[in-house]
Amino acid sequence: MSKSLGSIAFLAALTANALSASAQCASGQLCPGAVAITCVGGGTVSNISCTAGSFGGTRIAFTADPNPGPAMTVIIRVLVPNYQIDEIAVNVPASNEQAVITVRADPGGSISRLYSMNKSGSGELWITRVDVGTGQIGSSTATTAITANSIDTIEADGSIYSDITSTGGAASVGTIARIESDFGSIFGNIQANSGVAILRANNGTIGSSTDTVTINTKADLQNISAISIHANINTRFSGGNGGIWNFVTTGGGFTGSLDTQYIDGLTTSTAMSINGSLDANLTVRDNIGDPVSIAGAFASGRTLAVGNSINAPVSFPNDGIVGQIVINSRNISGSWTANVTENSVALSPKPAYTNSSASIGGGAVGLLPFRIHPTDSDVDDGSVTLAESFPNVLKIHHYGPIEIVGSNPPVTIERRLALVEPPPPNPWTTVDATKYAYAAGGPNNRELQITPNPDWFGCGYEYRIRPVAGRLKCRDLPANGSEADVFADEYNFIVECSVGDLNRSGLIEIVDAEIWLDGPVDLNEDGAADGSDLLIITSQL
Amino acid sequence: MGRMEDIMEERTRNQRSAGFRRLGVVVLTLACGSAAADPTLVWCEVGAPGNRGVRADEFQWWANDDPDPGAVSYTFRITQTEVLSEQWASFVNAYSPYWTGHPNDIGFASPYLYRDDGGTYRVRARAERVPIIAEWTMAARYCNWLHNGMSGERWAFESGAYDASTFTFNPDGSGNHQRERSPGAKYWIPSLDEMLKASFYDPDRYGEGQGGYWLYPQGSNAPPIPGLPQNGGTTNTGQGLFNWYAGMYPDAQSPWGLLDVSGGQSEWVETAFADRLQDRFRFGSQFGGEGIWAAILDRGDYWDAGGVGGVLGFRVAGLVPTPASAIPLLLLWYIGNERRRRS
Repeated sequence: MSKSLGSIAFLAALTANALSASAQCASGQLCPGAVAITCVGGGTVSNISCTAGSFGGTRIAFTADPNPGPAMTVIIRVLVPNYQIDEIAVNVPASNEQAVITVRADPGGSISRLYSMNKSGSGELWITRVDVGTGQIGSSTATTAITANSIDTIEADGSIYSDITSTGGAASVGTIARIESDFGSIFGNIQANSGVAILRANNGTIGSSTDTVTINTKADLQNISAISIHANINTRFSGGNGGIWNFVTTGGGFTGSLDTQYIDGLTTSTAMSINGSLDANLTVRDNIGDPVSIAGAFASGRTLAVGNSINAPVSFPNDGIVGQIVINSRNISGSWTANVTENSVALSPKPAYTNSSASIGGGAVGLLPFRIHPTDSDVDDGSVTLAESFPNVLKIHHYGPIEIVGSNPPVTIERRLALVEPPPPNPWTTVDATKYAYAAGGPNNRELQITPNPDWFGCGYEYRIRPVAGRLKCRDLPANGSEADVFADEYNFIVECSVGDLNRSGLIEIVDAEIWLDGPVDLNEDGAADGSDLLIITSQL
Repeated sequence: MGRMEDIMEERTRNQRSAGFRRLGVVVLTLACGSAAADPTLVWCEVGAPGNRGVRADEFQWWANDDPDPGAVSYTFRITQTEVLSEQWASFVNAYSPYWTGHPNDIGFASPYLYRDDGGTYRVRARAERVPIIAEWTMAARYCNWLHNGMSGERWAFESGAYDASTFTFNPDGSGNHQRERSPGAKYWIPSLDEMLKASFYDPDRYGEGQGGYWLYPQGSNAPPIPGLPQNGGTTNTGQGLFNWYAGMYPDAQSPWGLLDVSGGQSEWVETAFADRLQDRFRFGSQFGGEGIWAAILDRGDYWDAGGVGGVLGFRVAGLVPTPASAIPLLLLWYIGNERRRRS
C-alpha cells in the first residue's frame, strides 16, 4: 500500500485537466520551477510576480479575480525543498468576491518558513490552510503578519511568530479554526473577528515570560493549550461576547490576563486546567460553568472576578489561594454554588467560610457584597476579649477588598452594658465618631481598621458595628462591577474588664462566684473547670 | 417518539435501504452496524474490491503522489462516524496509567472528557456522541488496543496495528512513525485510499454497476449545506456546538453509509505525506468555523497533511468479519428488517 513518488502521468493528466477546466487561470506556475498553482472555480490569476523578499526569501504576489465568481480557490504548491517565502500578497480586486488560498508543499517540496500573507483590493482573502510542515511561520526578529478575512488552519512543526488576524468581511465572520505548532511555540498575536476553535502549542508555549502575546476574539476561544501560556486574552474583543471552553497548560502556568464572557466547556469538562501558577487577572463576565483546576498558586495581587456565579468547582493546591476571588462581581445576584477548594478542602460554609486567610495562602474568596470574615478579624466576631488583650487597632476583615466613600464614618459603632443579665432596657448607644479613627487597609484592602482613642474601647460593654449605607463599598470590581455596599453584616464583640467577671458588671463580686458555682467555667484555660478557676474569682473579692 | 429517536429510526431505514440497493451490485455488502471489538462502534462495510481509482475528470484538484487514488483491492469496514467521546473514554481510562503527559492534554483526553476526583475519565453529559480529537499517535494506540482485545495491559497499546516504539522524532524534526499498519492488523487508521473510497466511491455512480467518484462525500457533486437538519442543512461545518452530535444528518451519507465525513472533526488518515512520516494526510471539514469551508475541504480532491502532534478526529478501519460470523449478522439484520416491515 505504500505510495511512491513520481506518478508523473497521473499528475500530468490531472494538472492538464485542472488547467483546461479553469482556463482563466493564468499559469500552472507561480514561481517557475519552485511554486505551482492550482486554481479552480473560475476567475483569473494574473500579475504574478516572484521577487526577492525583504528577508532573503521570495515574495509571491498575484491578482486573484474570481469574476464572475463569487469565489475561486487557489492552491499554492511548493515543489522544491526548504523553500523560503517572505510574503504572499494577494490582490482580490472586486468586492463581494473571495479568493480562497491554500499554501502547502507538494511531495518533494517543503516550506522552511513563511513570514507574511496579506491582501489588497476590495475582495476577500480566505485562507483554507497554511501548512509549512517542519518549517516555521514568521520571524523571531521581524514583525510579520498573516492577515485574511477568514482562516481555517495554520500549522507548523516549528514556531509561529507571525501575528495572525482573521478580520471578517462582507461574506465572512472572521473565524480561525485551528492554529497549531506541533513542536515550537506561538509567539504571534492572534486576533479573530469571531471565534477560534483550537490554538495549541503542544510542545511549546504560547507567548513567553518575557513576551506576553495578545489574543483577541469576539466569539468563543474554544480550546487553548500549551505547556505554559503568557498572554493577554480577551474573548470579548471589540464588543464580542466569547467565552472559554477549554484552557489547558500542561507543564507551566498562565501569566497575563483573561477577559472572557464565561468559562464553560459546554460539552467539555475541566474548562480550565493550569498546571502551574496562575499569575494573571481573570475577568469572567458571567459564570464559571465547568471545573477550574489550578495546580500552582494564584498569585498575590491577582484577582479572579466572576461577574455572576461559580457553578463548577474551582480548586487550588495547598496554600494556593494567595490572590483574590470575587464572585458576583457585577452585583447581579450571582451565587457561589460550587465548591472552591484549597488542598482538596472546600471552603465552608459558603459564602462566610471559616477557613482563615492564612490557612489557604493569604487570599480570600468573596461573594459580593462582601461579608465580614468572622475569624480573620481581630478581634473575632462574637468574641469576648479582655480589655488588656484588646488590640490597638480593631481589624474587621472582609472576604474582599473594600473602600471608604466620603468623609463620614463608614460604620456606626454602638455599645451597651455587657451584663449577662442586664437591667432592661440596656439600650444601644452610639459611640461618638470622635472616639475612633478608621481606614481601609490590610491584605488586599480587605480590612476596615478602626483605631480607638486611648480610652477606648471601654470594658464591660458589648459593641456592635454596622456599615453605613453608601459609605463602605466593595472595591476593585472588574467584570463591569457596579459599586456595591458591603454586606449589611453586624459585627459584635464584648470587651471584658477582667477574668472572672462573669456577669460583666465591670467588677469582681460575690455574684460572680455564685455564677461560677452554678456553672463552672475554665477561667485559667487549663482544660478543666475546677477549684483553681474558682480561686481566680474569690481571690479578687 | 422524540427527535433523537426519529433521527435514529430514519437513519436505520436509510442504511437498510442503501444496503438493499447495494446487495444487488456487490456481493455480501452489509449495512452499517455494530460488531465485535468495541460494541459501541458502528461499522460500515466497503465492498467492491478492485475498484478503479479516481479519474482526472472526477477529481480536478487532485495532485499528489498517489498513483491510483481511491483504488482498494479488498473489502474492509470502517466506522460510520468518527470515534466518539463515549468510545474514547474507555480507551483513555485504560491507557491513563501509562500516560505521562498532562491528564487534561487534549491530544490525549480530548476536550470532551474530564477526570473525576477518583481519576476516572468521564464524558460530560451532552458530549457522548461528540467526535473526539486526538494526536495521530493516540489514534494509532487506540487501534492497537482494539486489535489486542481492549486489554488494559501496557503491551496492548504498543503494538498490533502500529509499533509505538517508532513514534519518535529525529533531531531535524523528521519522524520515524510507522508508515502504515502492521501485517495482520485487525484495526487501523484508514488509509487515504480507503477514506477516498468509503467517502466518495459509488459502485453505481454512473448507472448500475458503473462505479465512480462523487466530488463530495454525501453521494453528490454538490457541496454539503451548512445548517441544522431541520433547516435543510447537511453538515455542521460552520455551525456552533449547540445541538450538535455525530450522526445528526442521517440523510447525508456516503455511498457506503458513512456519516459526518463533512463536519464533525477533520480526520486523520494513516497515509504519510510522501517521505515525511511525521506528517499524515487529513480529511474533511470540521464543525464550527465558517460554512464555506465545506465546499472546499470536503471535496474529494482537496487534500493536505498535518503533523502527527496535531489534534484531529479519526475513524477506525478493520478487517471484515469472517463469513462464518458475517452470515449470522446478515441474517439477523434481514430478519429484523422483515419483522419491522410486517409490523
